[in-house]
Amino acid sequence: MDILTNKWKHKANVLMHKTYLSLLWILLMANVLVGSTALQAESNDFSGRDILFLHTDRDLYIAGENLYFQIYHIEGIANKATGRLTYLVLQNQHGHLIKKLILRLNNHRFHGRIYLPDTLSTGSYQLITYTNQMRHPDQLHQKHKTAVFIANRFDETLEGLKLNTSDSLIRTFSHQNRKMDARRGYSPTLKTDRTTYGRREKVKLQINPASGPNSLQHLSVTVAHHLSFLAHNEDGKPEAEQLHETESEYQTQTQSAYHHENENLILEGRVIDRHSDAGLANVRVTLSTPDSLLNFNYANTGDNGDFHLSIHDFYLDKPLYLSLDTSSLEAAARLLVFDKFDIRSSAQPASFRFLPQHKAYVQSSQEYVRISKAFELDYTRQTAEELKAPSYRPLLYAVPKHTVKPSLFMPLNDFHEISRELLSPLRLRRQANRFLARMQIERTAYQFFDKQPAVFLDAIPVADINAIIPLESADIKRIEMQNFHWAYGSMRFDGILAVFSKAEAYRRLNLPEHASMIEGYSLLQPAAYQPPDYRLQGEQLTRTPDLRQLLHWQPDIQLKDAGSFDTSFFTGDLKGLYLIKAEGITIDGKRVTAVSSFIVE
Amino acid sequence: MKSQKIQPILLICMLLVATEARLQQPASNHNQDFQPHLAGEVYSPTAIFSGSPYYINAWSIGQVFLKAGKTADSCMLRYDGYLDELFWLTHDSYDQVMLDKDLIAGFRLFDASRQQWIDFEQIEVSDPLTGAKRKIFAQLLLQDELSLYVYRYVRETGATTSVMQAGQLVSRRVIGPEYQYFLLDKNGDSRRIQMNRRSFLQSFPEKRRELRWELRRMRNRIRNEQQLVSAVRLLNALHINE
Repeated sequence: MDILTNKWKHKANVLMHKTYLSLLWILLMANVLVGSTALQAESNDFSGRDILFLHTDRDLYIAGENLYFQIYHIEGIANKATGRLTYLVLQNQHGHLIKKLILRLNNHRFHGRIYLPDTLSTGSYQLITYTNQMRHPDQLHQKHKTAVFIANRFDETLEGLKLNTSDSLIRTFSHQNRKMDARRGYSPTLKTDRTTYGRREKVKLQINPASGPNSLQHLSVTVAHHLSFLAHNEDGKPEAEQLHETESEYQTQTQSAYHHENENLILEGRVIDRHSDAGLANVRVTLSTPDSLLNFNYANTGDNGDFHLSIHDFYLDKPLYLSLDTSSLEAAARLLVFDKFDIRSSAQPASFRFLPQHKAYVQSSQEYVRISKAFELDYTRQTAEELKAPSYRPLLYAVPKHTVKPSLFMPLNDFHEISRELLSPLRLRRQANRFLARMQIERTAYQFFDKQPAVFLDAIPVADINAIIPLESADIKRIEMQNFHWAYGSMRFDGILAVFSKAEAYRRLNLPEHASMIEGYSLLQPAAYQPPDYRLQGEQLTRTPDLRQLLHWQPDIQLKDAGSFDTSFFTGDLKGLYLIKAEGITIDGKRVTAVSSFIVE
Repeated sequence: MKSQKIQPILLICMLLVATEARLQQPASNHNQDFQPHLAGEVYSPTAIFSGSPYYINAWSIGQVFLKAGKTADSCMLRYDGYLDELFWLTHDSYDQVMLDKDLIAGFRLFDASRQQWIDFEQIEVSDPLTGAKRKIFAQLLLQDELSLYVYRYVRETGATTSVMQAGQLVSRRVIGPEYQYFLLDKNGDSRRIQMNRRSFLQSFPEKRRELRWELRRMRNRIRNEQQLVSAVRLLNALHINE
């Protein structure tokens, strides 16, 4: 009995030990997983895997036309922000960037247009869209690329159009799409009320999502002449292209330099030693923009010399002045600003299939565009979406202690006279043909600060007060003085002198060596395609030719699992076969495409 | 033998705690790099009074809400009720900075003694005698259609006292805390109220009967701040509109 009891006890102990070990293992793994999830959440820069999709209204354009596009963003794991800054570039086959655009997505979407300048030469082009995160070398393949072909309006030879003697375009196109749809599993169906229409007739289109577990998250529809759509050669992979970053000085950008731009654009750069090119830590980089209020911002460089500044909407469409705070410099330094458009994408031109009919089509399209321009026909409508967030303006102070308007007094010839007659807290002393400034301390009578005040002209820092001495009363709108020992973050000022001019006198300032001026960033405004509406048969509409090859462009359609979407549009004056192409994204990020056609007689 | 059994249990408990702690770990704040910079005068007021001008004597951790909509987090702050100014202790050089009042919409302080956060907002009130408008920092007691604020200022009492300083007896003016209560409606119009029931009822004559009945039912004589808050809550419930 004792033996049995001992045996059972032994077995129980073994079982208990096994249980303990299992529990320990589970808990250890849990800690590891929690740690890696936390790490993922913290380093959301690279594990989020945001995906962008870009749809265009057509594949073939004539220079001088508008290219309409829609961008969709599928959010990554950790990054759930709805507002997001996105970059869009148009690159030619030699790798030169023709257009550089910045967009702010609204609820993960943006639709707009790009005007294709008349000067573009005939050839393949790429539209590349990416976020700031995707500029990182590890994220290069996440950029979305779409290939288009642009023919110059004045190109008579059209040598860039390499004709192919393959099957008809529709069969090729449909075949390619069937292959894609077969991979994806389903696509919406497109149905028009008729198959043949006359000139300027109404076409009713119904889009039905296919039944299935996944809803379509985004959908855009385009209707254009069938020859506007191009099929790719079987070996072309315009969308899955791997980018190969060439060596550049930006190759050594650290992870911290690629910020999520969820709300504002982030200006990134580095301060390096002028001689050794090593990054300089703890250097203060200041940012200003010309304005009627004294705005000022700064950032400190990190250990590797990198810095980043948030560009609020207040800074958009304005020149940006960057400078180094010399009090924080110990060595000769150079300021580098990283170019958001330096993506170094490999320019592998897409290989399109052109049918023999394409040459005549392009030649006639060139004529149509010429006529449309003569009639000044533009079917673009700016949408009234509010892009700019309530503007945060980083001010150095709210209200100055002293304000003087020279126009209220007798005209004076230079700033030295102005300071002597009108600016009692400011003293300018001449020393060897140069002026030194000191400001009187507001709180203690007749005492002056040891150091010179910070001087600003139109909110731009002025390194040397002698630069503003030539300004006379007629040049100056107002002068502000803040004669306190002033703190702005970790910066300290022995008084502040701000001069605001009448005629942008800041433009005449010579920038110091360690300063830089950037023209400024602008956001592309959303735009929609607005074709003529022939329900209203006005005299003007009757006389105006309608040589549109794009009949309808409707981005941003949202479908649910159940229910269809109905839309309508009018045909133009051009006869021919027209394709209706619907491109969409499912909720799980899969692309779907559907194609249909009708004839205009 | 017993300790051998307890050890694995202890180990498991430690791991459980560790896992729980990791799970509750908040995500790091990526926005810390883009905090707004606070601006103000580097200034240390000269202590020439007997009594403290500060609402909370010690520096408190807090937030500053700027008028532009941005927030500066994790700042060491102190509210000077005598000057009606907010002071910030800079983390790098430990300068005392009197923040630019015109840039501030409000702030929040942590009262360690009561273990609670206190919200202050900059409001505009009218002087009852002159009608002139002035801006003050007032503590928010109740946020509703009619919000209740208290202006916790410090003033000279008129008395003087003698204190020993460097071995000498010196005279100092005595300062002490005072309170003024304001009601603010959604339009920003303010009205000062007193902390007693009679005055409270007189301020709202059209609902006087209803208010009196409810206050009596609640046995609320409005003799302290809590009772005043309760009375204003009642006021809002009765949907009194001016």
